[in-house]
Amino acid sequence: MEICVCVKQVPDIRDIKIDRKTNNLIREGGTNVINPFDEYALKAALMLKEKFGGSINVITMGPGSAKRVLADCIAQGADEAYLITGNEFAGADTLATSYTLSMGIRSIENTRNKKFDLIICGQQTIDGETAQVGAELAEMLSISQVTGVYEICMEDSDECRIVVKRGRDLGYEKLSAALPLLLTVSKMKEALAPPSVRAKIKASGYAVNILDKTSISGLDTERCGMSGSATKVRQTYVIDNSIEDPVIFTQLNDAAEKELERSLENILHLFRNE
Amino acid sequence: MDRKKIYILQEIENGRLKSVGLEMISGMRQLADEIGAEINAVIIGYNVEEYLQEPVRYGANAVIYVDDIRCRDYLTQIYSSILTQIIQADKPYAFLIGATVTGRDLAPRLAARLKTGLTADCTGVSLDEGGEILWTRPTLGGNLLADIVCESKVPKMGTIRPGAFGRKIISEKTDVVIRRFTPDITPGTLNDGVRTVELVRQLNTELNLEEARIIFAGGMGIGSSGGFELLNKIAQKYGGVVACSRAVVEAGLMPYAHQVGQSGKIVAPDIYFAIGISGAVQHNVGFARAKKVIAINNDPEAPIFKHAHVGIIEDCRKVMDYLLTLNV
Repeated sequence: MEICVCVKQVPDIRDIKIDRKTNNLIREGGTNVINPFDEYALKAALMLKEKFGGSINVITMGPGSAKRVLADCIAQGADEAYLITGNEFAGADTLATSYTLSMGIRSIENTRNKKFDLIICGQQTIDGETAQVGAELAEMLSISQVTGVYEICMEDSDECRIVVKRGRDLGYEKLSAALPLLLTVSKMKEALAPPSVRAKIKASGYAVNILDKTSISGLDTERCGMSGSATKVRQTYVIDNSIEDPVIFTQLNDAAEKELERSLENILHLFRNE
Repeated sequence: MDRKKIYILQEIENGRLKSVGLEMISGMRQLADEIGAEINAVIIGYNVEEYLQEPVRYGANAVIYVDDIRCRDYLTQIYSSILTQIIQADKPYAFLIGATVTGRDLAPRLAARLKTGLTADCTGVSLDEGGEILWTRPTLGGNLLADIVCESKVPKMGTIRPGAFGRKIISEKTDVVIRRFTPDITPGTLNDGVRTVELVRQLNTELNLEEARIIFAGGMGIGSSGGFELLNKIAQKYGGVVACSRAVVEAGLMPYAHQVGQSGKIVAPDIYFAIGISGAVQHNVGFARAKKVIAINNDPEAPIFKHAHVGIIEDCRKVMDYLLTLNV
């Protein structure tokens, strides 16, 4: 099974800091990590490779520093890693991102002279949180998609069809999907284990394959980055739903009790009159 | 020139139109009037006759529907193919889809096919001075709001968070066109290898956070030692619903369906009790539309007190005991 996993380097949301003057993310000093959902994507790929053989190819679009997350994927057991990089790719919305990834994936397929059977993405990134790139990429590659997968039913799957479970708003559904296919995965039961020291050392000597505007054949740079983006951020601002004059009681005294009683009474009275 | 058209997808689930579809009609009604647009509800399914009038009561000017046995359950390819045909025929100015599991699967597929811009998970839609649609969404883990524009492509597309808009029946009856659309669904046009093996519906009729009028939300401050059992009793007593913060779900104390906030539900009750919740920005975006917020926390510095109409600095258990004994 030839698998391609799409990953993204994201700021660690747990120690995110916002510049309150510019409303931009303060990147200095912040750590970058692999998008957590992409770790599940890689884990799913490793499980499928273990059962069906084949290879795992990891791709990302980003600055040179994104090589680090690719090296981490190699240490985890991915076979090859590709970085799409260049100024023309910066500032991409999901439409431009998925176009660029689709062209990168096609370019890898051409070089390897082999089509991918399966593309796996994390359901969403923790910085953008759109959950759009997976489905947009599937459309650009003209293959079927199943999004929000939380379980791969290994025993039901074979070399031609993958059986998965995905959550629905009420309940879940089990789907059988023919390859080629794109999956986006949410949180799954199985997580990546930390790589061994040996795997890490081996990965540190790995040279990431670089894809740029000249090496991706047929690339229309007008459809990449800022110029290829259909959406733009007009402005960002701090959410302020603070209340101007809150009534604060410093303990549950008589006045506070009265307030609770009155509030509940009012609403229950409203119900009775409806 | 023809009037601009705003298309709003309705989803059918459990024998009724999903609330978010009707919320989007209510939420877009004024904007549509301001730009002189008409709102068209789009319904796709099988045996949909009974649902066709509902969107009109909320202010839709027209209803377009597809009634076909192959549309009984949602599948990406068939739905995106049908909607592409509708959009190419009617050329709407904007297209809105609920940010449900189905909507989040369908909308990006459709946007990529139409090569247009899509804004995910919007909590607001408004106009700038020039009449351009601003799609508002939380970003960076709920720390900021961003206004997104899609200036050069149509339809301008967005998915809308359930609960982000209130829904309202309006009485005005206009000349409503209800039109059946017959799509071309020849098997060859669908590159579809996906089939449903099993569809399991788990109905939780008791829990409807988005439509709850009284919510008792608990945080880590009410702890594990029977805190949520007590909260459940209080909720039952007053006919309310129990909600919680993300930390509570992560600690395994409550299921995800009860989570309010950026990565949970957006609620709009008449009264929201935040008990033992510190008030991280990611939680606060979830109850911003509550009419009255009462916060209870033993930490006077808890940010929640800045977002509540009433604050009580007190041991949560003490207040919960009082709520349980109170007679109203």
